[in-house]
Amino acid sequence: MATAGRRAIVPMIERYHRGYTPHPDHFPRQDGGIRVENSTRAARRQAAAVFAAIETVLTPYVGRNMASTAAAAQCRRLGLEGASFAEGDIAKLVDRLGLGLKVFLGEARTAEVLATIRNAIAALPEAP
Amino acid sequence: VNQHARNVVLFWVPLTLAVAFFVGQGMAPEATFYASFSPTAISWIGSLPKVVLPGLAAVWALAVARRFERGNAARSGWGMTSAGLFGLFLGQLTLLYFYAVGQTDVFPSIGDLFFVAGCVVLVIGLVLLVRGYAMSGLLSVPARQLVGVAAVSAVAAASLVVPLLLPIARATAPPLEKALNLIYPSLDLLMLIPAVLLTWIAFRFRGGRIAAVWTALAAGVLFTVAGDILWGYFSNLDYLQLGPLIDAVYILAYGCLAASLLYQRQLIAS
Repeated sequence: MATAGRRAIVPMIERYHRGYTPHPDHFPRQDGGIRVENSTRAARRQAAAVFAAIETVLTPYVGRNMASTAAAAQCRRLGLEGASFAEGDIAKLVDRLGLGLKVFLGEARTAEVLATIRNAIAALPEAP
Repeated sequence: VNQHARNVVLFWVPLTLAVAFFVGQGMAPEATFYASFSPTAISWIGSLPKVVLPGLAAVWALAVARRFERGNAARSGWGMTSAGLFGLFLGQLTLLYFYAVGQTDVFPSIGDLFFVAGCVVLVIGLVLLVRGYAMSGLLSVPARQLVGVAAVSAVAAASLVVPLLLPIARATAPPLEKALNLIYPSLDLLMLIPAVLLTWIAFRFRGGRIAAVWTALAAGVLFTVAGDILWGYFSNLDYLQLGPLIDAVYILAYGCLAASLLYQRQLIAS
């Protein structure tokens, strides 16, 4: 059982480090491990905390002004609303930001930035 | 911090010294300091940065273009920018060659072919970059706002056509020489449009590393425009006192273009 679990997780870690976008239910922990959520109940994060995490990571690259507006603009485009976001929606939001960032930062740097954003969001407490 | 300090020491300090040298010469040509340099030495001090900087910028732009994956809008933009800068490099190299063989007053020359082609390709590169960024989805601005900024800058550029080009058109000069003196400022005015758009984009990214790239690029284009306009007046109207100032402006222009590529290269290096 444990061996089967390891076989499932290790390729996922490798794909993650190559810039692979994990399944919304499989988010990396800050310590580098992978937390596998129960797929029947997707975790949610506070929208304000998600925005703050994105803004913190993006500010050195795009400036505070663009960092604060970019995530909000992408949310509008994706139709995301409410005080909290499901992890699947967060994954879509981060991917969407990556599409824009690639033109400015290139694929390799964008993958690094997105990984940092995902880690920062994964470290946030779940919304009640 | 280390990277910033290295940029300042290895790039900005030598560039500032070169620019200051010619600004000083323009303001006080009779100063004792300048008497200690032979005219040949001064010419080499002016020529070398004008060859090295666009050459460096072209190589860095090519390296940047290759770092973007195929299909990325920035790849073609930076690729064309590299080709344009390479044209400017070849133009300056031609001038340096003529100077080295003792032909100091060669205008027009094969170098002008490189300059004109380089400027045209550079304009295309800048337009491709602006288009790529506008379509990236990160700039949350409506397309009509971008078109509005482009239209305003086009009107501003058009308003400069008569005051800038009329004195050159009226001056007596051989036809090819006069044509080139009209083509350079015309291309520059065309280049002003993407430069204004780049400045506008840079403003939206203020405080971030992306803004440094675009601010330097837009400044490089604006100083190139200023240098070409000064050159047009200098060449056609015999304003001899503008010589050192033109050198300073061109060195600053190529320096800013190279700086933008240096920053972009450092930005995308993972």
